Amino acid sequence: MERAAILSRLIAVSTAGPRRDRVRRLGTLCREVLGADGASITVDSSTANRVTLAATDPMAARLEDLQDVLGEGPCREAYDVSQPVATRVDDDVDPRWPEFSRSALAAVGPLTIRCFPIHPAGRPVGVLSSYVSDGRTLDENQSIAQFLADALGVALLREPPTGDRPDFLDPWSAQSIVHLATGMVADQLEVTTDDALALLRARAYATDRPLTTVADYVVARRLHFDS
Amino acid sequence: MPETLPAFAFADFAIRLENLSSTAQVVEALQDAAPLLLGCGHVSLLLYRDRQLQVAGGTDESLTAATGAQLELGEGPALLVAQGAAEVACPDLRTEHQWPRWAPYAAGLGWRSWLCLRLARRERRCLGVLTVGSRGIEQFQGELAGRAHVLAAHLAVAIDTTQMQENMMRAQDAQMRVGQAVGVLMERYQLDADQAFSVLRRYSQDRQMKLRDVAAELLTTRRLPDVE
Repeated sequence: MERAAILSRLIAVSTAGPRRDRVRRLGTLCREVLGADGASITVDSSTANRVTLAATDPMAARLEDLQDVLGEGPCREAYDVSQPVATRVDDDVDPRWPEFSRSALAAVGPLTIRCFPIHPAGRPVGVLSSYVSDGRTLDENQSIAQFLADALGVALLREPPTGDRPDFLDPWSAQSIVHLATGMVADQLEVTTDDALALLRARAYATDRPLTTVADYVVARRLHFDS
Repeated sequence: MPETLPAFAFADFAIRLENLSSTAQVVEALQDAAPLLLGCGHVSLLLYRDRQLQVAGGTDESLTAATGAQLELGEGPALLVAQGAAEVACPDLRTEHQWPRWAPYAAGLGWRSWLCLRLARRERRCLGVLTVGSRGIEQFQGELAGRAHVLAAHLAVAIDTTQMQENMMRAQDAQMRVGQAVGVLMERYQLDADQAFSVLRRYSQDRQMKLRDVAAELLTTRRLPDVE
């Protein structure tokens, strides 16, 4: 797709429709432009605070969640090095993120993941990730995909997060439940919030559940971390 | 007057600005590049922070002081620019009568020619003011003014983008802190999320602190507001 056509579609999506729905539709647009089977958009401001703004399907969501839980994977790498990153999830474990390789294969089966840093102004603000089922490739080449990611970044930066109050229906607040649970666990065990988050991640990993599910249990007071 | 327009220097500057991620870095890049780009004079920068114009930096202490004095005295060319003028030029501050307190002060520091340019981008929102000053009279006409405008245009783009990025990071960080602090209150007092949020908000109102600052303090000290 031509760059101008990508821009005009991005503008069409980011200026129309209800605000809460926009990021989700941006995710769908990216999946279509890339010709991927699924896509996701994450924003990052610190390691404790990665937020998946949009995932087009449960598999894309699961791939992001695994990286939240494990603290490793192609999306995190693309953010850290500010370069596109690609990996195949199959029987050959990728030595860059062995745990993610194994867990992703078990969770979603063989596929190819490609991640593009969203860096409209230099330093990345997040990552556009996509996957295709095994054997297929993306429709677009790397330079167009990277252009899409950066243009998406401009649209996201113009879509500022809401106020301080957690709004559970707002995609920008998708991690709110994790923040609440982190505070609760920090108080239960009298540990730092960093340690509390690490414990939540470990629990999610050990029980093979999404981080937000474990957080839900804590907030619903069905899971306590007191000794 | 400097020789040819340093087109390559501008290109280098634009490329360098592309890769910066904080306003502080943009100011630093301006300080490094301005002498080469303009060929003479010095620059200073005023930027909005918390909706107030503040001195962000400059290539010369005395020029920066003269720039900042406008904010204290409440008069000067930068304030006209902040109110909507695209540029204000003074060929000689010693004969300038528009600002009876500020102009003599700046002239007393040795500044004669003065040029203020508005840094603006989307919807013409003013991001700040770029000032070019010289100790000679009538310096900023013709080519040099043109260079200053190019410099201002590059700066505006860089500052706009980095500020949006900084705002997004700050908002994300605030949301995390507030969420975690609400979690601490929920656990400590066995409240639901809405009740705990109300407690935090009341505490922030009583102490006249921003919600995000109250949350950060609570997370560090773990001392909690009293709950009736």
